[in-house]
Amino acid sequence: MLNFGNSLFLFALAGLAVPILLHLINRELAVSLKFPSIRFIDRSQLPRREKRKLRDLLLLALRLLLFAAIVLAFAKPVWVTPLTTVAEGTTLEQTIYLVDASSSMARGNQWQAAKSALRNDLANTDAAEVGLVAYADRVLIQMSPSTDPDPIENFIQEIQPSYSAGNPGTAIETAVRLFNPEAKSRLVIVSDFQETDWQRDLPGVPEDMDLVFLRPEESEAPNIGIANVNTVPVGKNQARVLVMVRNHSTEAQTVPVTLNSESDFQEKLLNLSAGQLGNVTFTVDVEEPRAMSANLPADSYNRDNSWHFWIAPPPVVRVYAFLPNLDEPQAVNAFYFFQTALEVESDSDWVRFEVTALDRGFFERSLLEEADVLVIPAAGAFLRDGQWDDLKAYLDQGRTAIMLPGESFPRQFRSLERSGMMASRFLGLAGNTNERQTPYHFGSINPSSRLSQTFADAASKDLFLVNVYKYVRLQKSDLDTTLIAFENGEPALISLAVGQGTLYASTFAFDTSWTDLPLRNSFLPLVRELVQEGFNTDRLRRQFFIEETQSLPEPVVEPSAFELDGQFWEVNMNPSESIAGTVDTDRWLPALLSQKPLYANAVPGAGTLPGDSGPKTEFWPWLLMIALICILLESLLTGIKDTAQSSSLGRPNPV
Amino acid sequence: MAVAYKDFLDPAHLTRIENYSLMAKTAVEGFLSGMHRSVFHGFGTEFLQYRNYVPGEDLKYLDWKVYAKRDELVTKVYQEETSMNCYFVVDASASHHYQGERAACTKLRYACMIAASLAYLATRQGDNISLFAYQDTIVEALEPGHRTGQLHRFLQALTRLQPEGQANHERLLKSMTHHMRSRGLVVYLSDMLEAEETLPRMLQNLRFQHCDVLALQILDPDERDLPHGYPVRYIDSETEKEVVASADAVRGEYEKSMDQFMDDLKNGYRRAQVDYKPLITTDHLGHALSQYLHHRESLA
Repeated sequence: MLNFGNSLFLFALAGLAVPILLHLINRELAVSLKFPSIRFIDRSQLPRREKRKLRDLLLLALRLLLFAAIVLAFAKPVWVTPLTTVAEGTTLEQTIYLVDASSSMARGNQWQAAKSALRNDLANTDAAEVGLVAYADRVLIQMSPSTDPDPIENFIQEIQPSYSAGNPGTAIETAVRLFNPEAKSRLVIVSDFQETDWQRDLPGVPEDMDLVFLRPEESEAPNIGIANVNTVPVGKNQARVLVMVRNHSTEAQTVPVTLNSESDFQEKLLNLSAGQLGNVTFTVDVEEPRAMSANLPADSYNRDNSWHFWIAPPPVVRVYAFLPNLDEPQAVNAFYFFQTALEVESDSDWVRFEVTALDRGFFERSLLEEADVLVIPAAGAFLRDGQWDDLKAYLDQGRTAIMLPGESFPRQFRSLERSGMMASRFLGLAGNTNERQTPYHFGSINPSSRLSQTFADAASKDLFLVNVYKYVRLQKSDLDTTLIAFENGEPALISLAVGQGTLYASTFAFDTSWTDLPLRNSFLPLVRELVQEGFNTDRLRRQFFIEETQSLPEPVVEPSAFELDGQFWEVNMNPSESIAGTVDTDRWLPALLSQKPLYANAVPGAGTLPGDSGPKTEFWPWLLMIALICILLESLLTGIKDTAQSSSLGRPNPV
Repeated sequence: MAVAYKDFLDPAHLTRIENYSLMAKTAVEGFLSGMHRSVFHGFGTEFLQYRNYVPGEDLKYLDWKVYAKRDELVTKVYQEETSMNCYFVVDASASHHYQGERAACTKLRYACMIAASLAYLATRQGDNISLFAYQDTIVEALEPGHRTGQLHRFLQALTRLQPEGQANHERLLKSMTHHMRSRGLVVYLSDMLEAEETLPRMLQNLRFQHCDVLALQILDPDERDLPHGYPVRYIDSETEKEVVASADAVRGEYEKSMDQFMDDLKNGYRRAQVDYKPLITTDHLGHALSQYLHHRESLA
């Protein structure tokens, strides 16, 4: 069957009339001529010059073909196997059962009812061949139509609804493909037709395919489900657990919400009116990481009665600051500002920083191994050659270091250049504190950095008001990334990729003689975000819905909280499966499925899995080639015609 | 490059001269300068008497026979002949507007050039000249005269002519007959289309009034051979009727019909004792001038 990717272009075929009109306009017409007497001139037929006529017709045909080829090429014609060309008198009838095995089907006794309905239909169907496609977030099982119904019966006995949300789109595509294109097809969809699943983008089915919707009886029993759980730290040793519960029933409910772990049990009552989303909070001690779950009593849908999560002490980021010379006031000041900014505790910030100063003698590879982030405030010049190598080795492992200039900034930046860690070139110092002058200001933040999210819109105002009195000028290299730049475009803070790690180098010291940044509100978030820019604290905790784990090497099949490779995993069921709303299967859904065009790869009989390309032939390259040939031939014929015309007798000016 | 006298009579050359007076002078003087002077010498005058030769006179007027008999040098004295009326009748109907690709001018322009040249010649010989130009009615009429300014008025009248309307030959010739009081020469200039039966008869009536008639038919070369090599919607200049035809397809029949038409005209004029000369607008004016001079000589 011929399908068109852009069928609207076919309207342009009406333009085929244009060459015909042009041809008629340009053909040889009688020239009007006032003549003294027409007494002896008899009426005659217009000349018929066969060669000329043939050439004109050929030109017309070529132009029409050229135009049609271009229009059709734009319409993207695709030849696919004819959909349901059921031959007259054929007796082959096929039925495929499309079974929804998403989590919502576990509500009440829906699953049993669905299986009974399927069995009844299977027993009463006249189809010679029956097949089955079961799906949740993906196609779970597909059975091509066959005369043997036993595999389907076995399936009915064994399969249980998964914990995933449903995605019927790919399943419908798969089912349509399994049909024999010559057979009379009947698609029986067994589902609760939950609106969160069926209001997705759905493919269409062939118009003459019989659609049957089997919806199991809905359970009238009330359902209350947990929608989400959030944890926030309270001080250093406690955390607050916020459990969000939604009443999906049509009546007000009072429900006990419990918090369970191996060593803890708490319960609180929660009153919820119909359809209401309510919160209940618990405070728990955080001494060591432990998996917990929030639970509700059993109801008509038990799968949404639990939510698994982790309570763990805030991850501590160890920040080591290299302070080789305590007599260097700039280094001490920078360290002080840094330490203060990082050790501020926040109720909303789950990360904790632990800042430790390293003396000259402690800057060695074994100690650096323990640091998550290394800060070198105004001390880069004090690093010996071997220590530069240690720093490089430290960064190669994927760690992060932050380097601030001091009085000996030339030596620091030249060492960075020499070590190969910085591609930018050291140019000198801009600004002089001995003379009062206009301070420099920040002009832009790299939009791809984490800093740009923190300092967005109004929050960036204070940062852009920061005064910088002097800074180290660098000739920027494309290999280095500028995180913050001055108004003149020169870098203020650059990111240097060293192996797997990152070295952040500021071109100004965190000292009041260089800048007033440490005294501003922007300093604290700048320092904390800068540290977290390199050290991603989110990696400590991972939250997924069941269906999101399917792409992982080891998919998770049931909700749970577990620890894997030092990471705390929280896998729960998608709360959208708790929603009781369904779509209209009497009018809306049949109309939707029948009206929408088939997906290009949803071809009956193709028997391919979702994602595989179906048997289709693209015509547009051939059409463009035809158009090209037409252009060449048209030019050739036009040239011949012009030559012939120029050699003929000229015409007088018409009257 | 020297200009040959023939060039002065070429319509392609003459049509560039807007002023009819200059054009006519150019044509006639050029024409005459190419003739043998003795051929037409003396016409327009009658022998009156002899008188004694006075030294210094042109020897060509000596009567050599008298000298042989009487051994006296005597000179012939001629008396100028009574001036003759020369009527120029010009058809200025719309069909004379045609100009084919090969022609240098329209048929009317060609007719006017002939009329102007002949009028100049006639005036030069002391004849009275008169003009009648007509379409469906008379559009220009000039009484015969030879006084100063007559030629100028004649040429001015020609200048005013514009080819329009249908030719009504009958009305013109009837009206003209009333105006003609004395014998003379009628020079009739027309394409004579569709009038091969009526025109010879009507011009014969002028013969009955002791007028010699010279019928000059003016045609465009296209009217003879229909050269158009493409389909043409022919529109009749006078009747506005149309016919679509391919010249290639109808040329043969057309030429036959045209030849027949010319033969009919020729025979008709012969029977009517009217001199007839067909002219193509590419022909030299010399054809018309010599034809005129022959007539004038015969009249003299």
